[in-house]
Amino acid sequence: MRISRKTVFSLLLAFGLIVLAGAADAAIQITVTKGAQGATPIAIVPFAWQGPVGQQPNTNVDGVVSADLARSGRFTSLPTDDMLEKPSTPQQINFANWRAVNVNDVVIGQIQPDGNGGYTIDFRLFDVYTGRQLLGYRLPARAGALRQAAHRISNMIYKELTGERGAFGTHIVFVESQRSGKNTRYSLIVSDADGNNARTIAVSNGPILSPSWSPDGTRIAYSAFVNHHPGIYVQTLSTGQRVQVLKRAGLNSAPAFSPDGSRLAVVLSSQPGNPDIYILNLKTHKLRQITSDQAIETEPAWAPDGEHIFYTSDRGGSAQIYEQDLNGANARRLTYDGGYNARSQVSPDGRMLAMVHREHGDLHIAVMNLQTGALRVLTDGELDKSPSFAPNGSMIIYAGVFDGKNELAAVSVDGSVHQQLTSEEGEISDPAWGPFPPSER
Amino acid sequence: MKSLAMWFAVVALGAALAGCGGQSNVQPAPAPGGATGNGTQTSGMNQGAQNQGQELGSQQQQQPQPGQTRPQQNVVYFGFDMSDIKPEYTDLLTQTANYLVAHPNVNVRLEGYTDERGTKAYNIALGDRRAQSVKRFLMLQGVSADQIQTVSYGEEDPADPGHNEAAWAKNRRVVIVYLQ
Repeated sequence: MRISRKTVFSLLLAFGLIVLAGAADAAIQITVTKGAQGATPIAIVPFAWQGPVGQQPNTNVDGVVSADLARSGRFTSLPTDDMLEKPSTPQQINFANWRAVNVNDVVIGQIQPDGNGGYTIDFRLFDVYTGRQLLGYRLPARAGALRQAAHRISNMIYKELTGERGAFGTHIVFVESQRSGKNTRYSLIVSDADGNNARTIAVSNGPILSPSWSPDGTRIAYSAFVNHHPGIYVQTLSTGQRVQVLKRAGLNSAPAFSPDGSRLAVVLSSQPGNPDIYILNLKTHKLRQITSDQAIETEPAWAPDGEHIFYTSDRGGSAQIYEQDLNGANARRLTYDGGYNARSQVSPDGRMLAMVHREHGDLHIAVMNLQTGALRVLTDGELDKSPSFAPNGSMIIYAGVFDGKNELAAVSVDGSVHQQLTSEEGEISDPAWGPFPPSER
Repeated sequence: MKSLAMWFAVVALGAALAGCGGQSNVQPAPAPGGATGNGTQTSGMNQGAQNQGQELGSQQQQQPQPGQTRPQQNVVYFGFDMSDIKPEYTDLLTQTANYLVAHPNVNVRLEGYTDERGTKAYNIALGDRRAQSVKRFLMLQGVSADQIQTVSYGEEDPADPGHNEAAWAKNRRVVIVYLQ
């Protein structure tokens, strides 16, 4: 007898929050809605297969590289149909053919079997105008890890041509909700940054909120409701093991991993109706309250040095961003521009704060320069929220309502590049961009 | 005899609430609410009397008592980014309180919700404020804290999934869920 995954879900959901490992689902499509002015034209020539005919790998490595670079908004990839030649060795390149189609750079490559079920990929990057080779590498790839290898190639090309580190091999986590009648099914989903390899890691018939990555990318903390009561959970991705780390009376909200991964900043009710920020030591389980105002204090975000916390408070009459030392001292208000600034997140270099900024009743993503205090609004949606920086600091992923549906989008920190991430299935929200994978750290 | 004493206690508390609001003058909304609450007490009693008249007819000539019937409505709505009880809901909440006082074995869960025009965790806090606001009102009318649970879902599980003013107004709410 075959039992569909849906049946299993509904059976399991009777018990509340379920952990899943390895169930692939929900592909996310990413399209660039606005590219950078003067995006660099580049050609990624289809990589030549050097092995036995008919045994090519299923993954289109050059296609992944081409899509990665285009998705960054910093490049436009030449369609293969527009290529006048398809060289795979340096000797085969006629640079005049590439100057004729107005690309600045060309990438060629070869893939061959390594004799152990895996592959070896050679690729080279050339400047079309000087004819100079800018990059040339050979890298091994296990079978089933060709996409990761392709993302590594994209990272190398991106770094060579922009000077910045690429984040193509990273992951994102987000919440999908599917409403049917009175019931809503919430799923916590981890996928590659390009939306591929989506897998559901937990499902619940109560809301799942505020996923936060551990700095090493091995665990995700989140808030989830079980039997009408919220708790804070930490789930290990490799094993699926989930630990309920907090379930106090009142709120259990907005967990955020410290930069060293040893603690969680969380929001609990110090008294009924009075949320404050606490630090939970994950080893000793000691809990320390660091705000004690009568107002709402929530949405803690760690500074990269682990010594300061940013948070939202309405102690001044409206929700604004505050910063204070971890020991509770030196609290100061950071935002004065507008009647509502909330859910801040610090850029990886510690120089910028992304936040949700309300303007004429609409919510936009804005970034504040922490040195000058200058605020810059990056998006023009009506309900843009939950900003999260890519680990290289180049893009901010966020949630919004697009054509009446909850979807994700991303914007470059300078506001020039806009991407849309759409799900074919339910509504998606609450994204968090993961750290660089161990191999890239 | 016992319920009569309780009725007096409720009226006294209602008066105290009205007095309290009047004195502090900080929150204008609860003060008229408290006053209306007292008025409602009577109307609630009348309703009870009507119900009894319908249900029991001439079987029994009983003194009408407040809080015998469970209010039909169980949702209270709020203003944008607000958590104070609007005057139009004090009647309902007073009837709810009367019912809970008269039925100490009945518990409720107050579920706080918000619209989507705020950040998710801030909305969890705002929904909690709304639930606490209703809880405080019920307790001031004599309901035991032991009878009341609260939870805030913030903007999750909207009553209306639309993204417009009409939907948002329906989503800024506290739902009173009877657990018995």
